[in-house]
Amino acid sequence: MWPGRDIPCGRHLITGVAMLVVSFFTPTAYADDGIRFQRSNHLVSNLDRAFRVYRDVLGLKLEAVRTLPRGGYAYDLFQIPSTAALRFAVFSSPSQENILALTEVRGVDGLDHQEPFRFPRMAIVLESREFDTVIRRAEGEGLMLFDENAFTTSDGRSGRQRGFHDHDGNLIVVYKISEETDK
Amino acid sequence: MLYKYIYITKGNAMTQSIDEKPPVRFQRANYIVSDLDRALPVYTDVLGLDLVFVKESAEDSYSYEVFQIDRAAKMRFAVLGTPSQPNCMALTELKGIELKETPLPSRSAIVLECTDFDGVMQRAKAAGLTVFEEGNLVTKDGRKGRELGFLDHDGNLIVIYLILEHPE
Repeated sequence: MWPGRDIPCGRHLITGVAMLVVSFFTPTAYADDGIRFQRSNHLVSNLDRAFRVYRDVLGLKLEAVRTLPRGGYAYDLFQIPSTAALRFAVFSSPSQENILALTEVRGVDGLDHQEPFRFPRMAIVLESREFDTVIRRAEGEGLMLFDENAFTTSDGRSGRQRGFHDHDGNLIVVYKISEETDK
Repeated sequence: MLYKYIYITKGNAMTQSIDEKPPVRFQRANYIVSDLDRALPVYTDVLGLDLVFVKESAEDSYSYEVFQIDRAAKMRFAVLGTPSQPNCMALTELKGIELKETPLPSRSAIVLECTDFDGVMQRAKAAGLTVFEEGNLVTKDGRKGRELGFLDHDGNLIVIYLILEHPE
């Protein structure tokens, strides 16, 4: 029985179908898994400089930038001195909303990240259809690139991969499955 | 392999009738750990990710180069995921070398939405992990919820959140 007798059943049906469609095509579709990887978040010393890497080199879409409230939760989690000023930027890929974030730390001695980390503790790995273009852009940006490497996936596909650091030493690896040509 | 994908703009998702891969796609985050057998239960039992596979890394693994790891180190590699996000997370174990302390502030975090927020928190505490005080989450689009950070046994930062209220 349809709830709300004064509302035509057809409207409920349309609403129900619409909700099904929306729930299927939005991130809440992951809710059944109980857990969903939302994003990785990386500290940088200069957000405007980092945009050139994540937006212009990698091709991610910059969604939003905002100043984080002083003393907010990010200070606790990252163990950032309260004297620092933080800005936060979030990026999407065409199929992944808000999949990557950057947190800019300003105003603290020793956190300027001028030297790349000698020993990164995390890498992010991105599949790029425009592998050669990304590498050319990274070289043009003056980033530190490692030599290209050929690989075979666990399911037998072969491809190319190449790692580079952003300006703060965060490690990025891009790859492409070989049988595809650059679009 | 070609497939359809969903294009998302300003919070609204719409299907794109393009039978090709998107130009760029985030595949996974990969944390370095010192003991995979100790780390895996954090990601599987505490967080609830699925373990996809574990493998010994080859001596010429690219990870030695990009992570700048001493070739004397032995490496294992684990991939984890969810049913909807296969292979979204990886762990690389280094044995035979001393892992330096994780620098502070933490340089990176992974952020996961989880429905069993209290269960993850309880399991993280029971596992003896460093668990931060819970925070109140307010997103840029006005959603409200809970968030909680904790460190795995190697100091890698993990943040979980749960949305409780959506704006009208």
